[in-house]
Amino acid sequence: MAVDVAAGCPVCGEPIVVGDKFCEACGSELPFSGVPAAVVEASVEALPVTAVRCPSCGNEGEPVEGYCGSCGMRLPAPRDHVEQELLGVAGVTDKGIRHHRNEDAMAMFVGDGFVVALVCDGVSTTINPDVASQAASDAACAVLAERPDHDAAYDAARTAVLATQYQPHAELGPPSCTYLAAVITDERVTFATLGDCRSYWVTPGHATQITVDDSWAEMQIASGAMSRADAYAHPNAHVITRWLANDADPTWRPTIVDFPVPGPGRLLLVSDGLWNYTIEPATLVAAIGQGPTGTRSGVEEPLERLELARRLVTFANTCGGSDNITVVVVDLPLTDPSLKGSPAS
Amino acid sequence: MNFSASTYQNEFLPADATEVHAVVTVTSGNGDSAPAGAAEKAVVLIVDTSGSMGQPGTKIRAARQALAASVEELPDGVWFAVISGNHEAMCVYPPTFATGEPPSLVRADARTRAEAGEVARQLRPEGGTAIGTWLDLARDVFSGHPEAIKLAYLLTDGRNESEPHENLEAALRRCTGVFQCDARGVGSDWEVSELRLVTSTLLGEVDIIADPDEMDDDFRAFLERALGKAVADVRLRIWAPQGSTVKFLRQVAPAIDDLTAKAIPVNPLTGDFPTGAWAGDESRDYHLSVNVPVGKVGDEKLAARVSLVVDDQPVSQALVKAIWTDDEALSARISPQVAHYTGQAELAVAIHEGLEARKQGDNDTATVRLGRAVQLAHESGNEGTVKLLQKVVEVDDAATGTVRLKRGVAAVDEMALDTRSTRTVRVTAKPQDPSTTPPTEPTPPAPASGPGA
Repeated sequence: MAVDVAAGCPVCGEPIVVGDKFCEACGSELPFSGVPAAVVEASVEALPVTAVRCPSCGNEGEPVEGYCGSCGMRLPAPRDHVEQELLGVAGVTDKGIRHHRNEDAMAMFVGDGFVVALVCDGVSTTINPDVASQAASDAACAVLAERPDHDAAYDAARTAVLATQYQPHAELGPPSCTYLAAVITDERVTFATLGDCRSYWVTPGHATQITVDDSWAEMQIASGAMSRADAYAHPNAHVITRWLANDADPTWRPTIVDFPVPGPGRLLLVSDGLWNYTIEPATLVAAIGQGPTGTRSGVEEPLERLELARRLVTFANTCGGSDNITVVVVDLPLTDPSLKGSPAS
Repeated sequence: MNFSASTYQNEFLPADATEVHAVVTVTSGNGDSAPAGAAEKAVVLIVDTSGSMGQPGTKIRAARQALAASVEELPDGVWFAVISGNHEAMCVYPPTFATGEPPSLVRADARTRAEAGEVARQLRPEGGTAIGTWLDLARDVFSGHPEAIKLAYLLTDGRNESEPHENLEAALRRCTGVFQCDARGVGSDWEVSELRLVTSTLLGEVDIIADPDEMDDDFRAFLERALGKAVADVRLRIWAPQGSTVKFLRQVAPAIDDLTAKAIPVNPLTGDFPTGAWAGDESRDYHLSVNVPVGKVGDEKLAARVSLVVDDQPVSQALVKAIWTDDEALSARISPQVAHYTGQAELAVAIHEGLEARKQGDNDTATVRLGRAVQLAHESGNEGTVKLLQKVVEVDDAATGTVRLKRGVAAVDEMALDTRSTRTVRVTAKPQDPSTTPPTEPTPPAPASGPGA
């Protein structure tokens, strides 16, 4: 259970900080788990780029190449925490706590009657995975904005990743990332996925995983070698079996999944930085919050998309933030009152 | 003249680790700016003329010949002087002593070359050895040319026995930062540690001239190196964060030389380490180790910034980072360069300890240490050092370091090994060019472990 810090106290709306047990204004109990406040705050609320005050030691002197000129700590980078909101789609990507940079990337586009959303996750044990994920998501988004052609979009992403410049390394692989793209209309959503970013269909009280990970765990489950529980308890569970890179098998293509929209609901595209903590759909439902697809407790109004994305990122960081976290939220039908009649942006 | 610096390290540290290692390669090139040769150059040749140089007479004859030939080939315009050293020091050319003027350099031209050659051929061996006194005179001779690239060459065949050791140490302190000095020991009656002290302090190289016939080539090689220098004073400026300490800074290629104690503070977080003059086509490697305050998993710190400073202007830089991770796939890797030079440093220590033990008559320790040296030299492909070791030990198995001490080893062979034990080779494996990466294996192993991508 987590509280959306950005939204303030769930009862009175007064500002709160992570770790507070009670709201200072109205005294309501706040259900935070026991995570030190400073740790979570530093990573979730990234400072603006222009800030030169070191969040680690407080030094305000001249930085050294993006690092604090006194204690040497890396100063917050723009990609540490990014929020993006277009009409009908919103997303948050965050460094998390235990990684030193954000290697996730997201991209989104709102067209006439359709929305494009992408999440790519850089593979940590490769060179410049952050560059790979950004290149892939940007290139594919540009294609899907023009036409709903997943093959062409993936080819563009692959070309972009292979074109990134890098210094070869004896032990690190070339720039690599996973790939999840969605073209969303009111009737159907088509996904293309390679790797382990996930998509969920969320309705009040329910969350269903749509795409299947290219992971060791899913491979064991699919072959019948292991039960779901055993597979996910295994240390290899999260090892990915397919990815996008120069050294990846060139015959690997993303799995295409066609999802007919069953009715009103929310679509989530997330990286493993979130789903590591929500392997059971029930956990995800709880993290989203009570009421229809996420509402403030005691208030009937549904959470805005961006607020939900923030809430889930905060949730993952409260759980430990072991990886980069990305959450993209799309509401269906797209002909939501807030979207009606609006031009593509 | 331009410089570039690159870092080789594994920046990923396991939780609780505080020690950061990196190898920084510095390379100079002749860029569009000032070509090599533009800077004024000054050389002082210091030749031992103590009585022992005449016993046998081949030493002084070779020294006269080599010295005369070198000065006679000096290009026009180079500033130079010749010092004759025994228990005293005399600047024999230019012969300012004759007019009572202070000692100085002279510009090379047809007349000065001929005169200096004539003086060189008349050097006579007599008296003792006082190296500190020679260096002090060289300092006086250089003093009128603060802007020049100043290099001295010191040749001796004996120990510094005509002055207390403190005199040498005091002279070295006075000469530090004024000029650089190479040193050569002729034969086997000189002290390796004494000349190494000179060259390590004055940023030069020490070597042995086992046979006086080699002198001619060695003088020439020195002048070629000296005249090729293009920039006088290059420094490594190291910034390390608050609370951290530079554990060591070593030059590790072309030879090992510990620079740690040479730090000149710039500000509380920054120190300069002089590296002397550079030619336009040099490459040197440095091994830096910094102790930083421990970080949390996910923290990324700058552990050091290594700037190359020429005339007090930073011209290039390399960053050394520390990233704490709980992913062992990242933190368990060891940089091949760091591993290689750690091995080369151990090699030099093993040789030194092995020779010391042999001197003390502790043959067991000598066998173990020199065996380890053979193994390290063999593993790293340091063929030059393997050859030198083979003159001192019989190698039964280089891979395991199984050796036997040789009997009746020539003193010069032992001293050659001692003198050249710090010479290193570079890492042989080159990184792959991305464009020539071979086709992918059918099923590459998953690159990620733990929490996946």
